[in-house]
Formats: sequence, C-alpha cells, structure tokens
Amino acid sequence: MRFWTLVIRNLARRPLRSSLTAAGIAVALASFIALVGLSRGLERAWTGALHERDTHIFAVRKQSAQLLSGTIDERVAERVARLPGVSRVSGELFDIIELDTGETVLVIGWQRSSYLWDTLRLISGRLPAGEDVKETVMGNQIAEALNKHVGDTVLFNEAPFTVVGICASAGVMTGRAIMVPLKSLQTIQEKQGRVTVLHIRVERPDDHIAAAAVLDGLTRAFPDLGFSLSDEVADQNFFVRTGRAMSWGTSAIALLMALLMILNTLLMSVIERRHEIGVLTAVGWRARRILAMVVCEGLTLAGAGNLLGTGLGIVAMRWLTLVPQIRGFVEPQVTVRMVVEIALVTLVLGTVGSAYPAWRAIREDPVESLRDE
Amino acid sequence: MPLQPHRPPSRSAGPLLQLDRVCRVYPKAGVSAIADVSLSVWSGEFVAIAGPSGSGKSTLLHVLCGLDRPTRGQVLFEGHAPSSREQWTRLRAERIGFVFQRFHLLPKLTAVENVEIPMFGVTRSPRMRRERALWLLERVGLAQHADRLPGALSGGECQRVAIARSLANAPSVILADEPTGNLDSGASAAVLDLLTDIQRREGASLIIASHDAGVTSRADRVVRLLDGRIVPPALTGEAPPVTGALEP
Repeated sequence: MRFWTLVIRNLARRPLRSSLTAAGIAVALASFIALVGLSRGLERAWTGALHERDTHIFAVRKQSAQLLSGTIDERVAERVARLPGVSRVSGELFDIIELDTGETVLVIGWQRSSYLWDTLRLISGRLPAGEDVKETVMGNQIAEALNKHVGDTVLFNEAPFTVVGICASAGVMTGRAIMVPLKSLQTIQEKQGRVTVLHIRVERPDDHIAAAAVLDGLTRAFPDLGFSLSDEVADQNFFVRTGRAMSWGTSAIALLMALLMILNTLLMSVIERRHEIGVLTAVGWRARRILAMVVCEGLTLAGAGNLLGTGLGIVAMRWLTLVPQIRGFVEPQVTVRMVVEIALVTLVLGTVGSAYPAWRAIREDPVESLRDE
Repeated sequence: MPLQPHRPPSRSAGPLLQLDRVCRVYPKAGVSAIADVSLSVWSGEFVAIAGPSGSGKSTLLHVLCGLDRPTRGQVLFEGHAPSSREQWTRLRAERIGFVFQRFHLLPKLTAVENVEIPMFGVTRSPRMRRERALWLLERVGLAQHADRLPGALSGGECQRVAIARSLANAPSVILADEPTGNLDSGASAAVLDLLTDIQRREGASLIIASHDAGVTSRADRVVRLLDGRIVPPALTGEAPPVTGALEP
C-alpha cells in the first residue's frame, strides 16, 4: 500500500461528501476561470484592436467616467498632428448599438480621409465612397452572424446603411464591428463635429524614450485630454478596470467559499477519524506524516475540483461569450498564465483549507483518541 | 524473514525499559493513576503486570511507551530518557510494538494493509512493506485472510492481525494491554501461545497487562499493581524478581 492509497481511501469512505466538496471547488474555480477569462478577454480585445490599427497613443476626454460619454472636438486632431514627434492622427467616433436583429455591435466612424481605413483588410467589396454616405464596411464575424453580404442593407438608429465591403479580422473589436464614414455617424448620433477618441501614431514608435517624450508633450499641450500608450490603454480603460475589479471580487468570494468547504469537510473527517489518528500515533506515525496525510487529502479534493472546474470554466466562458450583450467585446481564451494561476489557486486552496484540520489532528492526545472509539 | 535471533533474557547490558519513581496524576479527574512506580524490564524478559481493573495497568503501559507522559519521575529506554514526543514516536515506530485489548485496527484497511501501517517511514519500498506484512500474517496464521477487512474477521483473528502489526518493525519489546480481554477462552489461549512463542523465538521482551491467570502463570515475572502502586512480592507470596536496581 502506498501513502496516496491511504489518502484516497480516507476520502472515499465518505464519497458523497467528498464529491460534493470537489464539485463546490469546481464551481468556484469555474467562476474564477470564466470571470477572469472574460475580464482578460476584454483587455485583449481592446489592445488587439489598437495594435491592428497600429495606434501608438490613444487619447480620450479626461475625467470622463465612461468612455462613450466623453467627446472631443474633431478639430483637435489637426492641432495634435502638428506636435513634434507625431506622425499621423485620426479621430474616431464610436458607439455600442443594438441592431434590429437584437445583436449588440460596435459602430465606428472615421473620416473618409483617415489612414485608419487603410488598416482594414477587405475580403470583398470596397470602402465607402464619400464622407456623408450611408455606406458601411462590416467585420467578417458580424457579417457572418447576420448573414449580410456586399449589397445588403443594415438598419441602425432607423437609418439604412448599405454594406459596401466586408473586412477580415481575427480580433473581435474589428471582426464584430461596423465601420461607417464619420460624418454619417455624427449625423445619426447627433454628435456633429465630435469624436470619442484620437488615434495617434508617432514617428519613432520603437524608440521608447522618444515615444515617452511625445506622450509628455501631448499631456502638457492638451491638459483636458488623457493620453496613454496603446499597451497600457487597457489598464486605464473604465470598462476594463470595472470588469477586472468585478471579476476578481466575485472570484475571490467564490474561492473563499471553496476554502471553507475544504476546511469543513476535512475538519469533520479529522474529528470522525480521531480514534484512527490516535492509532496511527500509537503505532509510530510521526506528526508530520499525519499532517502530510490530511494536507494531501485537501490537495486531492482541490485537485479533483481543479480538473472538473477547468473544464466547466472553459464551457462557461464560451457560453458567456454567446450572450448578445457580451460577444463582440471580449476575446476569451485559456492562456498558460491562467493555467499556472489556477494551479496556484488550487494549491493554496488545498493547503490552507487543510492546515487547521491537520493541526487539529496532530495535537490530539493519543490516549484520549484511543478511548474515543 | 526472522525478526531477530533468539536471545535469552539478558541482564548484562542493563535494563531495556526502566521506570524511576513514576507518577501519573490526572488533575481534572483528581485521580492518581500510578504512584511512585519503579520497574526494570530486561531484554528478552516476559513480565506480566497484574492487578484488578482500575489498578493502573493500562496507564503503566502507556507511560512505558511514551503514549502518556509521567507527571513525575522518568522513563528510560536503554538507559536514555526520551525528551520529546517525537523521540517517543520514533521509538514506537522502530523499537516498541503495542497490542491493544480492543485491537484498534483501521476498519477501512484490509488485514495486510493494517500490518503495513507501522512500516511507513521505516521501510520505504511499498513492495517490501507488502512482502513483510504478508510474511507476518503467515506467521500469525492468517495468510489466507490477508485481504479481508477487520469487520470480516473474528475477535481472535483481529487480535492476531494486531499482533502481526506490533511486530512490523521487529521491535525490541512488545507491550500488550489485556490482549485476551475481548476474546473467548479458546482464542485467548491461541493469542497467548502466539505472543509467548514470538517472545521466545524472536528474543523480544514482552510486557502484558492482564488479570488473566493464564498470562501470569507463563510470565518470567509478575508485577502486581493495586491502586496505582506496585505491591511488594513479600505481600503477594510470590518469588521476588531476580534483579532490578530501581525496583522497590
């Protein structure tokens, strides 16, 4: 008989209780995977979209709690472009709207002369013909979801837009977005002359010192705007930060409950096995071996929960991305970092959850324990 | 797979176990379980601890193997006083075997697995643990029941498994607390035969706490306890011990 055989045998003596505890841990870990995965998916979608557009610096209205409510005068773009070190600037108006199909999509408006149109990879059709036309280029993912092709019409804010092109993108922000000329979007949104953000390219993006100097110059020249490097934009985005805080907060509560479940199960198990632990002490089992046995029981429970929870978490994450209000804004995926984090969380759950029961087990008086049959 | 070569009782190397004016008081209950007990047990010796229920026999055995700590006095193993719980645990693992009246087998483990339990931390190889446990079960006549759970064994068979378990690490001394107390007369005789046979063949010391006349009649020496104190041989009409510097 191996040491682990004894550990498994101890857990198997109350199969229902052990299974329910493992299931509880699995649900907690699945919540962690799904919620943190979604939060990271949101970050990934934002940074991915900026990289796709080769944006180096991103500007928003300062002190605006919500990105969408803050607007910038579109003429600011010209002033920004004149600053030393800045290569190109483009304003962008965007909004999240619900189509008549019930689909929630991102609508993006760029000046027809903006270089950002050139970042789209057209797979069919063409770009809009002018500045104030009701024409749109759809991302391939949303076009596929809505079964729209070049020549079809899509209705938003009761305005019909003709699909003139379909562009391909692996990222959800572009793949599930609708791009329209800025003026036509400003008209239907009644935001004439306004943009939501500025995309800024610098002359020497690989020179971090030069990029930082441009950022510093922008910050001083436009104190009412908030500038951030594209790699850091996710950290400063309201949606991303709120999503991150909510997902970690909810996960922490779920994990705490899992910890209490392990503690409760093992404590009951140790109390029930008081006599047996006394026998082990009597036949010469050292305290650290008994401690290891109880901790290994905790780790086994947490490990079983991990296996079940990881599968459940991936399914939950995929399911959540099918919710119309969420899909198109997140790119969930299980990364190596997440696998390592889950392994560490499992290790901490198993060890911390079993620490007190293990301590209780080894401090028992063996003579008293032997009487307790 | 013999445990040890046969050794007759030896007094040349000093006592194996010694109690020096040991007292054990349970303050909460206000009970003095044993009082001022001095006793020497020699290697290979069979000592019976006799006395009525409540006389302190079990406490004496528990103190002898470090399961219980004396309130006063000291316990010496081969002339040294183990100072910590850890040292006593090591001794119980490697040098002291214990047989309980109520067997105390782990109910969810088979007979052979119960015998393997004390070998964890002493014998590293699981295969060697299994082989030795099977050999010990064969030694106590239970090879055919190796894979049975204790619940499927009779009282006498359980006690034989417990004896095999006590021999797992070839101890120098076996302590048995009323080993026949829960058995019928036939099983009692068989268990007693087994214990004395092992004591003779393996040369281990054997200390049995019992009020069974069958036990006391076979022992090399009988120590009688009454109200936690050793009754001097002169008062019991028995022959005094051969030696024992610390004995009364």
